[in-house]
Amino acid sequence: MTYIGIIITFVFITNFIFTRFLGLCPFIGVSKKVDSAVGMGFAVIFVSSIAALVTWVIFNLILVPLNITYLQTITFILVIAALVQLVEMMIQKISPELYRALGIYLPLITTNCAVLGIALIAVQEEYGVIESFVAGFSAGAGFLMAILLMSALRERLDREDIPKAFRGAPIAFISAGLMALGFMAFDMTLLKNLIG
Amino acid sequence: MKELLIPGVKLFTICLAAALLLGLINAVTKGPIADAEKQTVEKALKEIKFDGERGDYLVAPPVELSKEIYEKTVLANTTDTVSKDTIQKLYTGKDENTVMLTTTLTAADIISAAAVFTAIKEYKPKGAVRAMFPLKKGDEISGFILEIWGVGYGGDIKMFGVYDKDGTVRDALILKDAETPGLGKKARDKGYMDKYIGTKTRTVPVIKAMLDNPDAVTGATITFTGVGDALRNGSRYISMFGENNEN
Amino acid sequence: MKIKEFTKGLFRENPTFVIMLGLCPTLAVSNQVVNAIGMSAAVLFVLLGSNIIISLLKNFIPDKVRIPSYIIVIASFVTIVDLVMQAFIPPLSESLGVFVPLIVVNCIILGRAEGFANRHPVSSSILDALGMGLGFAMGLTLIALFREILGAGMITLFPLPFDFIDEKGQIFIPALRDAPAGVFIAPAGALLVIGLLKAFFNQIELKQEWIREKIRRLGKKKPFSPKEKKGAEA
Repeated sequence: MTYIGIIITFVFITNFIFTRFLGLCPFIGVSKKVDSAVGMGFAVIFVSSIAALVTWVIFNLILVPLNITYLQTITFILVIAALVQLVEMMIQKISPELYRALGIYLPLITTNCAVLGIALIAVQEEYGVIESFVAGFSAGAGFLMAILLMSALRERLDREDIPKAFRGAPIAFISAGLMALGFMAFDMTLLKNLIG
Repeated sequence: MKELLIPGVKLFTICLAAALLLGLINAVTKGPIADAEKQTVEKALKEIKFDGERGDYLVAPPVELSKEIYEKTVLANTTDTVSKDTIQKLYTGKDENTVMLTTTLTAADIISAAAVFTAIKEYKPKGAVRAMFPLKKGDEISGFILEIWGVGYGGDIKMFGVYDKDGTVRDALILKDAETPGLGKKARDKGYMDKYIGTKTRTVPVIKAMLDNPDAVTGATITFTGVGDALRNGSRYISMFGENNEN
Repeated sequence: MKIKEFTKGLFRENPTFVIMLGLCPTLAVSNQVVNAIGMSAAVLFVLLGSNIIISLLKNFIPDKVRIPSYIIVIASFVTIVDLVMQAFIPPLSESLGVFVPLIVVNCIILGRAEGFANRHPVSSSILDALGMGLGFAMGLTLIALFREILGAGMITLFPLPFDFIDEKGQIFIPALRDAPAGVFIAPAGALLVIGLLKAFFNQIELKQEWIREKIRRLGKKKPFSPKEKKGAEA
């Protein structure tokens, strides 16, 4: 698949939130305000692109030659945990401003299934090294788009007079469901028509 | 130093214990996992209807191949000159980066090339047609069972298609799919494949308008198109050989 | 050892509807009842295993490296489930797909390790895991029932020796089978169903609170209530 195909696939067709349900916890938890949603979104893009790249290297250059691919889940999650820690320390050193903006979201990302999800999917689809990186980036971008839309919606919903039982998570889920309905318009046929 | 060392050693111990345990589990489950895949194929071959005697599994020579894979993976791994000749006879350059199957082929050519591809462990089949089982009646080749792949709503669909030697669809069966239960999954129901049987290359239905009863696939159009595309590609593949060279 | 450790996971702290953890698998694999049951069994096994091991090792694991240690323990159990499922129930493993290895990041499991098992004895940890696991199973199966019945007009279980289940383990619901509301099987339907169910449980909660409040007020004001009533009438 071409790079453009991968980007369209992960941003629109199999958007991590709306069709694959990866990364839902932060999607519901951190989407109350636009500011924090943007922060979380960029943190996920950052970590998922690097994680996809690093896990590709580890899988294809260490696990496959040693014939221990059954250890992939355990290695990937450890690598991601270590990576998040590393990224956190690096950002803190290089740019304290960025750290102040992203800092509190980074530790949450270790248990964000979007990051481990893209690492596992890239291996499953047998992507090359650059393809993996592009897939990681676009999965993160799809997440950013979804959480941005959601937070803009929720800021407005806060001012509406919603029945008490629906306030908070339920109305968030239902709004997300309606958005997901819209995303059903993007499918493989669309991709075929766009890039052949 | 000591307060760093002890947690480190303990963490390492846990890692080691986990790795050993998983190695053990892997040793136990490795066999059954490999068998499970073989069993789905065997079960499918039992369920699907075909005439004649089924030959062995062969990797299908791809219609097009990038020059890089052609030279580095395929040609570089053929050890004897006979098999190298078999392959080189079949492929011509299409453009700078791709080679393609020549148009003057016989079924026997493709089977001997397939045998060479099967022997190359490094070659991983991709594309629409990935493997074949030749069907024989006496000494004559009467048709093929092809392993064909299409794209459905939820991802790839892996199928077997039975074809006459002129490319007419005789039967089909899905081995693996990720379609939606209740909608696309209906493609696994009995009778779903009936609409494809007896069709060939251009007459294999891929859009609803080509069906007598379009309502039957409503709600799962993409699955229907995916299955149709795969079967059509298989039919085209077979109609490339020999006498019935018409597309 | 208290029975409360077990029952709290079922209702009061139900992982799906109250704490709302581990949502990704809840929504993704709830399109068929059989997938929901398979996923629940896998989560229950991992939760039980990790709670037992972490409770046993709570004095061995140094505080500094506790999170990586928990992750290793959990990931090991997940890999065991993954391999065993691939080997012995391949169709289930195929339909759950990437969500089996993703049990690692299911917040329920790490949450119970960090929040419960590392400071409670093995026996309570087992009860806690069973309660939380069954609570998760209940939530997941409930959503799957809604989605499959409305969206596909059937319930997929295992092949069982009953008359109403066919050889593939499916039960058909006559009218819905012919004209199902396909949207409930689609990803969008999962979000709608969980939103509506959560609102329904919220409503019950609100109602209960309202009743409790009423009772409390009545209890407090009882001596004065006749007077008040009179005043209101006047």
